[in-house]
Amino acid sequence: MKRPWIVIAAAAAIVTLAMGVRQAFGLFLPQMSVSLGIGRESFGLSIAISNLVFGLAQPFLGAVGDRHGAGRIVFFGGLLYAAGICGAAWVGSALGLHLTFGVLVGIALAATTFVIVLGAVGRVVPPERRGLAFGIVTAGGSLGQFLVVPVAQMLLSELGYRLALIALAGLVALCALLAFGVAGKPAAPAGQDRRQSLGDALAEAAGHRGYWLLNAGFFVCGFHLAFIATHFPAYLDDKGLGLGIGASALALVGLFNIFGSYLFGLSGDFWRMKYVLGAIYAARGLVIAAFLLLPLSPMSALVFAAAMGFLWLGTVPLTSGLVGRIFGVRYLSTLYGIVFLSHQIGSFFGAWAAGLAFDRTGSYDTVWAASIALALFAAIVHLPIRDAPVARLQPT
Amino acid sequence: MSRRTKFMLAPLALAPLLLFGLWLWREQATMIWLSGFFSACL
Repeated sequence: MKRPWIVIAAAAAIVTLAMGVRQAFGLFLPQMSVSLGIGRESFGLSIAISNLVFGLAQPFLGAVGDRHGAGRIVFFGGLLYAAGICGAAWVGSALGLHLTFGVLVGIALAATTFVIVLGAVGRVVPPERRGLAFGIVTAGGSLGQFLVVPVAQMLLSELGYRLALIALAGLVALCALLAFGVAGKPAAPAGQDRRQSLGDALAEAAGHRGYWLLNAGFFVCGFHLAFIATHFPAYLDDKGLGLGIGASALALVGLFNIFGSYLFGLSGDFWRMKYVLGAIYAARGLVIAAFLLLPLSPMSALVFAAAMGFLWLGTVPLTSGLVGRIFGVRYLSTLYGIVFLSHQIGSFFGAWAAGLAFDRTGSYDTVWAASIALALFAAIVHLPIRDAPVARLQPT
Repeated sequence: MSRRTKFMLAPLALAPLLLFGLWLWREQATMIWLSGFFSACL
């Protein structure tokens, strides 16, 4: 078996590149929509397709990763990611963009991000160190979002969108090399695990109330992130705050997300994960309520961004860690892949329903209220989760 | 210093990288904002 630190380092580097480049796509919107003559709606649709395919492909690729190891999936995903981005650099129509940025990149994201690499990491670290390991990998994804976005903007300004995309394709192609760091077929299961098939694992999870509650909680996580990432700047703009505040807020979300991802992951080794998860959601509700109740100012917007950034992806190592703790790591990528699909569905509603509510009512008030209510809901639903390993994993 | 405190402070080892990141953001922030980044970054 590989040394755990090699797998953790490779996994963190893979998600740094894959998540970082993904977050930079929005930067290409103005240039590409003008150059291709397709309008912002078509560009947005490509990104939406990508997110949908990302979520839908995740459980299936997770199952393949659980069976054959993460290395092959990441290798294939890195090449597909590069091909999708190169393709987007050369297409001349909205359909071409949907197929490259949308479908190819969506599948590639499912092959190169958290669900796949955390499965590999979970199999090489002992359960008592899993929170720390998952936290490091998740912080890698946060670091990528923080570093790659401004680099991509620099490339875009200097080289134009086609060459900038080729450069980013070269960056994600490195995932194919890093795949060797997470490669290796999962070890043959022992004891009760030996007899469990994929169907058995799915049936076991479906019959566990805690699994459904984790799905519900992660749906809320997706809703919050998508609503704030999509609509927060528009909210600030409506309230008359300047451009500089919005950009600074974005940087602060990225910066504090690195610390939050790591520390909340680490906390899972010291405290019960379900309680930390509940606390994260409760804290989100409190932060949103305080932001709305206090007078809006540049400082309050920046403090809000830093606080939400700290709470941004801390749910990832804890939710995946909890799935691994309850059901074991043999089918971790499959089971966490399904939970991640809930996250993506929540993201869809967070971005779409908030826009719909604004169009109907002329304000985001109802969506802010829904965000607080959902935060409280998510905080409460984690409490009754039975977080002990299932009977199959108990020592006999 | 306890083991737990050491773990908690470990991300500070990234400080040079984070400062570089902040400098990059300072350089590019306005362009990033103007690009409509928020609306398509999910």
